[in-house]
Amino acid sequence: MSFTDEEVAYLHSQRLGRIATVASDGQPDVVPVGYEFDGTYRYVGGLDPAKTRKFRNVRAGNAKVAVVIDDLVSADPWTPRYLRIYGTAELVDRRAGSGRPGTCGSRPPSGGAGTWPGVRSPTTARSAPGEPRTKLWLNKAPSRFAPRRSYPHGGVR
Amino acid sequence: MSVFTDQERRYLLSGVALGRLATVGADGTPHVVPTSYRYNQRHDTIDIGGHDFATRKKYRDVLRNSKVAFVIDDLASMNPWRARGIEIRGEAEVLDSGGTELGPGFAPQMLRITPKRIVSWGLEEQLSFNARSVR
Repeated sequence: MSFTDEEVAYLHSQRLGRIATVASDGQPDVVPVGYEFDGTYRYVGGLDPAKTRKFRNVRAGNAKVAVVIDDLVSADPWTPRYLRIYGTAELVDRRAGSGRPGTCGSRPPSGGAGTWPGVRSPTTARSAPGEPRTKLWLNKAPSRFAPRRSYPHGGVR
Repeated sequence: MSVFTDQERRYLLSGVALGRLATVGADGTPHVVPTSYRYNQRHDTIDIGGHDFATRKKYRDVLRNSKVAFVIDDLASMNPWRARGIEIRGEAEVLDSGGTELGPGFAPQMLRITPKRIVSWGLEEQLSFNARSVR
């Protein structure tokens, strides 16, 4: 396991990552994704993941991916920070919110707008009625990431 | 005539601070990095520069493989959940000057991305989606 405690805390604190994949012709793709993190692997999915470019890229045999989780600590002075993971994606069948501790959701629990605690109970967080995003986590074929290396980085522009 | 819709142009100019640029390394591994950007209305391109730009991996990657993807996205609202954004896939051109205009202390080198495929979502209403090839 390659994540430090600080990195794990950061992974839990952010609601979205951006994942890059590559098509067979060398064209990259990058999209925002919600994710779950179980301490070792990250899972991404979507409403209909099999139709997405990232899924098709991985299914075509281009398993190398990069993910960046970042935020802007301050715009003035310009202080971005990020954690980047290079890794290998594997298509697995996994239902979201499977109840493992330490997972991170893509949106706060119902009523939690404006704050973003580390979501420890994704099933509860995603089962609120009337929330259109709930379905996004009923993953039919999300990707799994085995981190190869990662590092936090901060700086002032 | 812009390849972007009016809504997309408004979004590109709305001041979302960060985008994420994906490039491809020598061994085919993708790379992705948060970066500032500027929508260049005259050229209808996305311009990206930075400090010590010529030393950056994104710059070196483009020298080998000019195909890139760039995404800008944010949450218009968290309750109700409303995500929006635009992804631009295209060709990045390496320029040796002009970068200094993109930010204080920036290097002269810069990247200029010409869109080939545009995907945008949530810019008009919650479930709007617009994907098309433009070149």
